[in-house]
Amino acid sequence: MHATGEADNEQLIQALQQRLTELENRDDALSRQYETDLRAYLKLLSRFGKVLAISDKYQELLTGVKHRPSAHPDQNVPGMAGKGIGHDADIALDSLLEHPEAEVRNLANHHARLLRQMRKIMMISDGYLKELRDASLRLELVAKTDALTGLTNRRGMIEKLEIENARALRAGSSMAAILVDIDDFKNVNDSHGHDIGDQVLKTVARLLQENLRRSDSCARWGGEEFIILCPECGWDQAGVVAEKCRNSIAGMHFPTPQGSMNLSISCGVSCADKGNPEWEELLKQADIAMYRAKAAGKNRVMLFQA
Amino acid sequence: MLCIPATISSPEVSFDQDTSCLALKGESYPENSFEFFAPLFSWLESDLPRLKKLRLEINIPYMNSSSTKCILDIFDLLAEHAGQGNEVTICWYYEEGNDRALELANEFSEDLPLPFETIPFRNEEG
Repeated sequence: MHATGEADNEQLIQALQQRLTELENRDDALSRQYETDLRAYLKLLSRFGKVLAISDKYQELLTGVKHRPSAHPDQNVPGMAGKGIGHDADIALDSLLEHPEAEVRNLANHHARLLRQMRKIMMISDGYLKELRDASLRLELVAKTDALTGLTNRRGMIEKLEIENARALRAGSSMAAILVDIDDFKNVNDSHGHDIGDQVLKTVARLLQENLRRSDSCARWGGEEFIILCPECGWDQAGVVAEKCRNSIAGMHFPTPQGSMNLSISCGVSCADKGNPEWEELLKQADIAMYRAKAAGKNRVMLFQA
Repeated sequence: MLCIPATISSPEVSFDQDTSCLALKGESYPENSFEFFAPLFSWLESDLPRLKKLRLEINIPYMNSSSTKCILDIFDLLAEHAGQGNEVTICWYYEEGNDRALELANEFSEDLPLPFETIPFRNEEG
């Protein structure tokens, strides 16, 4: 075997091992199954190295690496003389399958089949992987969404609060949280039933969203409580957002079978500067402010004061 | 008698003598696919030669790559059986409206010398 053949083999073996590692990462059981075949192929390669090394298509199939035409094509391969080895890949593969030695022919046949299969499996498993990824994205979205209102749920909001908290800390900006609670919601449920209660929650969710700025986000925090998160926002601006929401809900007549019903919300606003206080404390302050708004007669916005 | 109940990671495998129908149903990503499919392969080895007619129904919404290899190997066996003058049909069920699932089905059937029918089904849970 001359030097070029050995160098070709070296390259090919490296590529094979790389593909094997890829397979291992993909599926342990599958790679074990193919490993035996690859080893048999490597063994054959060491015996018929030069012959096999020139089969571009064969290499491509096996290694998944586009073969660079050899600088020293071996013109002595049976049936290959003058046929432009390294250019006509199909002829090269055919020549292997028609090699005078039966052992080479059988292995070449066997491998040709395995390689077709392997390539197919790669394509198929890529398809299933995409499918899995999509499904998990859908699940993630569902896990962070409140089924009734379609708003982000508590879990999704906590994630946003953590991210915005970190951003405010890094950028040295301020951020505000508004805690919203529907006034006398228990009465709505008691006198009109839970179906109307659900409609109220949906309507309030929609109106809150309509009155937010593009960068704000709103979540159902639980029961009849909502949280509005306003990144890069000071006390005054947050107060304006809360007031817009309150005004829009107070001005609406909610239809029920017993006639139209007035709704209102109480809002507590708190603001953090440069990530201080952190979001948990920020929400506690907003909560305190919201209870002060309730105590002061409901249907109003209160800014937190220590 | 071939009857393997489904688990969370492996499909139900069953053969109905009366209809000569072999059915695989459920997701397939067992710890060792080759071990899981081994009883099916030995059944095919022993019982397939006597079957003049076989319908293979596959309803596997997800399979890992080693299960994919097993399915392709089964197809090879069935193609060989059909080549000996027997009647073999494959019915592949996929979720209605899921274009990628249909593409995958076509990937499986490409170059396969067997009648291959893709049948959409409605996902009742979704």
